[in-house]
Parts: sequence; structure tokens; C-alpha cells
Amino acid sequence: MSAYTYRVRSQPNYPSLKWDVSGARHLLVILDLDTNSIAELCRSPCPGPLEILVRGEATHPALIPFNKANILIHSFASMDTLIVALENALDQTTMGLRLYALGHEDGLWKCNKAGQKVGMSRDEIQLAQASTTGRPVYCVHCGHHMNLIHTNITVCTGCKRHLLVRDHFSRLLGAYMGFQIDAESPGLIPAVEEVFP
Amino acid sequence: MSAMRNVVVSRIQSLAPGIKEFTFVAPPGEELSRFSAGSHIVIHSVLKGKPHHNPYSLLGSPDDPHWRIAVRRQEVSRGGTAYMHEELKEGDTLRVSEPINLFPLVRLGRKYILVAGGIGVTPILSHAREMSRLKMDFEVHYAVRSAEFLVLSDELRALAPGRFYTYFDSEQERPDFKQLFGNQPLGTHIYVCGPSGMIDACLNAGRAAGWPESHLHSEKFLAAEHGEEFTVVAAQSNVTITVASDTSLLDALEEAGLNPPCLCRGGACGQCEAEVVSCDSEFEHRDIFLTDAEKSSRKKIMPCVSRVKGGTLILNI
Ligand code: FES
Ligand SMILES: [Zn+2]
Repeated sequence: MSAYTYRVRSQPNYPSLKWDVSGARHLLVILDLDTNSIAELCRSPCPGPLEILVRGEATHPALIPFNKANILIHSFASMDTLIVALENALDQTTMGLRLYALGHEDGLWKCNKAGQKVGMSRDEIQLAQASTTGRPVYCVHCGHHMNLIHTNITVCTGCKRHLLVRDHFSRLLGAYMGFQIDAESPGLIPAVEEVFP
Repeated sequence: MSAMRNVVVSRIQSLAPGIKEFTFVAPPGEELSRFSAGSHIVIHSVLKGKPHHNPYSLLGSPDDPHWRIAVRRQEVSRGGTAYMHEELKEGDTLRVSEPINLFPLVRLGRKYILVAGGIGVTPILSHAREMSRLKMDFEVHYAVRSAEFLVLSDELRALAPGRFYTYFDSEQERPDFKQLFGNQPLGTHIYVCGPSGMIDACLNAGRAAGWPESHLHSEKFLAAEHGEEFTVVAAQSNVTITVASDTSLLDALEEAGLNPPCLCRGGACGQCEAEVVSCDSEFEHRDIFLTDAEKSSRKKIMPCVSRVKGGTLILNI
């Protein structure tokens, strides 16, 4: 059974996080402090030892449900330091761990990649989108990666082309494909709208 | 039925009491197809007028021009093994299926643990050979009744030097699954083949240690066990057949000239699934393919290993 189901055009579908009772230990990565998602997850107690990596302050009110003596919370100022810490933790730990990631899509797939790097399978990792639907975008023309794109059309920061942000998602790249929108009629750019709040 | 071919028995060698190794080559002018690690073939034999179909793992190297299997003689459930041990001679020609792989290797792991019990060592040997070739990190645990049954161990030891562990029942030795599962890095996969009791103990220990199903791999060849005689009606073909107590439902259908689909003949692949129209007795499901819910629904049966306890079974075939 896979944790994600595909919608049309390979767009990932993110169910909300649920503690996996088949796991022996649990590692939760909070990329964005989303109070509602955390509250929902905490409606049931974690079934085993839990450690948390969070981007932001460990004292943030959203983390109150985790204020228990036996839960270790490590806080990180940036995504990069958090991902490095995650990679180290996964490299050191043993089978039986379940990985949960909560936050924006770009970060989710970085966590997924860290898991895959040490040979974790889909049934050991859960990803849940929270706080924003801003998309990671990959420019198919110059290979540039952009993050948190909120609009249907965006200018590639690599090659300056106007890209249409497609629903086609690549798990390998952890990004949506961006294609030049005015390739056939240069300069003809439809209205830019915020569609991924 | 999967594609069939002839092979010639080029060598028969006794490995241990009741265990023989057979080497097959292609008939003159032909070549055997290559296979992947974990594959098996199904051998068709006729003993005392009764057809038998038994699956055996290929234990040789895919690079060899021949195929190798090892067969333990089993008294009751697998008549075909008696044929292999007593009737078959070097130079004989056999009818076999092309290789089928239902126990393939996942290549994304960081580490592999191979566990063999008794004659279940055969697919484990072919996996060990593949892992050694691909320079994967793996170790082998091999449990047998006593030292004399430790077959094929020289090959295994050479493939996994320093990482080959043996256990003798006679010495009260047994793999400590709890410990084995307790301390493995993320990305570890386990492959187990052996008697049902050992497979269950192994998989349960893995689950208890929090391992996900995707990292637990097992292979169990099931045999069509004997049971009560019953009547089967193939509704579409309008044929009524008596299934004798020592014949499998699949064999009986084939003997009657029906050609139901099948592949593994061991209750694992799902190919032979048949729809039940009605049944006036109890089911004896022995496959590992149908879910428990499907089994209790009385709507499906796997004729290769399962049967009913007397009465009449009507199938939509
Ligand atoms: S032939 Fe494979 S399950 Fe019956
Ligand atoms: Zn670009």
C-alpha cells in the first residue's frame, strides 16, 4: 500500500499525517509550524518514542502538544541545517523508524529524498502539505529549480523565460514541470493569477 | 500454463540423506533461457499414472549454460519428489516450465539479510550469488536439522566470507530473530525461505521490531495437500469431474481436458484464481494469495493448492 495516491497528471495527493502503529520509533519533521495540522496529528498519542526536528523556535505555541518530558525537540534556523541533521539522524538510526514530514511541498520532497537515500520505502514515510500550496518548479529549459511559486505563470530566475507551471510532478526532482508559455507566439503571456496560495 | 520446454538430466548428485541435486541441460541444438535470481521452474512428472507438478528454485548462476535444482524427498504431500529421487536417471528428458520469478530482488536496499531453513536454501543461494556479483552488503543465516543436512554450504561460504552463519537444530541452535531484527540500519531488507513455522517466526519478529512489510520478503512453496474426495462442476464447459483425495483440483481439471490458467502451482501468483458459483461443503484454502476476507467470502478458490471437504463445488470456468 502506498502512502500517496496519484491524481491526474501525477500530481501528488497528501493525506494528513497519522501515527503508523506498525513503527517502533517515530521521527517528525516540521518544516512549517502549522498549528491546525499539528493539533490534528496530536489528537491521538504517538504510539512509540518520538523525536522532532523543527524549523523555527522550539518554544512556538504550535508545539505545546509536544511539551512532554519524553519527547525530544531539536530546532533549526534554516531548511538547509535541518535537512543535514535529518540526513545524519537517518544514517545513524535502525530499522523500525517511521518518518513524518509536515510543511511546504519543496521541503517535503527534500525529506523524502533523505529517506530514499538510506533505502527507506514508501510505507515508512508520510508527507503532509501544510501552511502553503506554493510549488517547487523545475524549468525544463534550463534545469533551474525555484521554490514557493504561487502563480500559474512565473518567470524562470535562471533563463528568464515565462513558464507555465504544470500539474505534472516529478518525484525524482521533487518539483512541478515549468514549460515556456509563449514558445509559439513570443510575447503572448496570459494573465498571471495566484493559484497556489 | 506458462511456456513449457524439454530439458535433459545431465547429472544427479546426492547432497545429503534424502536430498539430491539435479543439473539440466538443453537438448542438442537448443539453449536454455537466462533467468533472474529467485526464479523457479515447475517440473511435470507422472508417477504411477498420476501427474505431478512441483516448483523448484533454480540455485545456479544465471551465467551457467545449465540449470540446477536441489530436491528433498517428501513422503506425503509432494509425489513429484519421489519421482525425482527414484525414477529419474541421468540422460532422461523432462518436461519443465520456463523460469518464473515470484521472489525477485529489490535493489534499492542498503543491506540484505538472507535466511534459509533446510531445503529453502535454494533461492537464497541464487540471491547470495547475485548480491555478491553486485557487491551488495549482505549476510546469510542458514538453519538445518543437523550438520549432515547442511547442503550447498561451500558455495554460500565462498560468496559471503565471514558473513555466513549456520544453526543446527540438533545442537539446540536457532537464529535469534529478535536480535537479528533489532539492530539493522535503515534500508535493510530480509529474504527468508524455509518451512512455514520458520517463515512465520521470522516475519513476526520483523513486524514486532517495527519493520514495514515492504522490507520483509518470503517465499513459501505450498503443496497441494491431500484431502477428501469431492465433485467439481465446470459450469461454462459443462463438465463434471471427481477429484480424488490424492489429486489437486488443478490437476483434476487438467486431466479432464480443461486448460485453466496457472503459473506457480504453489498458491502464490494468483494466476489460477477461479470464481465459485456455489459449494455445499467447507473450503480448505491453502494459498497465500487470497485475502482472509476473500477466503471467507466463499466466492473464490485457487485450484492449484486449495480444495473443498467433500460435496460439490461449482466453478464458473
Ligand atoms: S497457479 Fe499460482 S496461485 Fe495457483
Ligand atoms: Zn529556465
